[in-house]
Amino acid sequence: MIERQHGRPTVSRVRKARWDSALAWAWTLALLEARPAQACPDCWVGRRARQWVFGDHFLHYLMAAVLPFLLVAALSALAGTLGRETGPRGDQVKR
Amino acid sequence: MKLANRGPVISAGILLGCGLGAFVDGILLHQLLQWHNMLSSVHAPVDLLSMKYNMVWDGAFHALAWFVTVLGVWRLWRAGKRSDVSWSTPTLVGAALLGWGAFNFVEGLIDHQLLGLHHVHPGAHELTWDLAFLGLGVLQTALGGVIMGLGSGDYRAPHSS
Repeated sequence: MIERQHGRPTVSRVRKARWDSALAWAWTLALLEARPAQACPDCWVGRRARQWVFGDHFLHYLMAAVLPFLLVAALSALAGTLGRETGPRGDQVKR
Repeated sequence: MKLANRGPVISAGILLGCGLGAFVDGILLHQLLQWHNMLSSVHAPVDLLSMKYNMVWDGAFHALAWFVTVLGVWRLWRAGKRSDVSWSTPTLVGAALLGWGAFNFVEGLIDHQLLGLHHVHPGAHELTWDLAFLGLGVLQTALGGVIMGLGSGDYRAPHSS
């Protein structure tokens, strides 16, 4: 509460009120950042899961996931090459 | 009329079959039936954190499936612009089935048998399920090859315009 002297607030009181307000705002922000689990439990678990993924043999598991796709893509490329060899020549006219 | 070039359509079909087959795996076995997740034999999804961990890896799997599907569509689009390429339904369908089967077989061999990242249906008879999945892959590949053979005599006249 800002005290008034002759109907006007004193400078020191105004400054203190502003300071208190800024401090309260900073505290609120700091608490939100420091306690994300309470602020958004689901986001927090998701963030932890992603951190876990990147810290848990990430490249090894990524390679394991990519490899089957890569091998089939190589088979597809091979099929395209073989087709080119056995197909007709000289009539590859663009539409 | 000349014997058409089937290579580009086969190549596109294999990619499409692989991508769409991976989507069937992810949607049916990971999400709807919830038999397994990408790393469910490494970290079983028994609480929210491990469930979300597996969810991230399932997302990576679906992202790869999406990428391969887009690549297949692109290949097919390019094939459609060529005059010498056979626009044959048995060739495309057979190649797609072959791609799906090849993916199931390779994925089953690497992720289920060699690395043990997950199993088709974990539990008492997981090996039986895994072997059946491999067998399904071989069957799809063979059937795809047979269907592709039906389109081997396709002809296509070069475009006049």
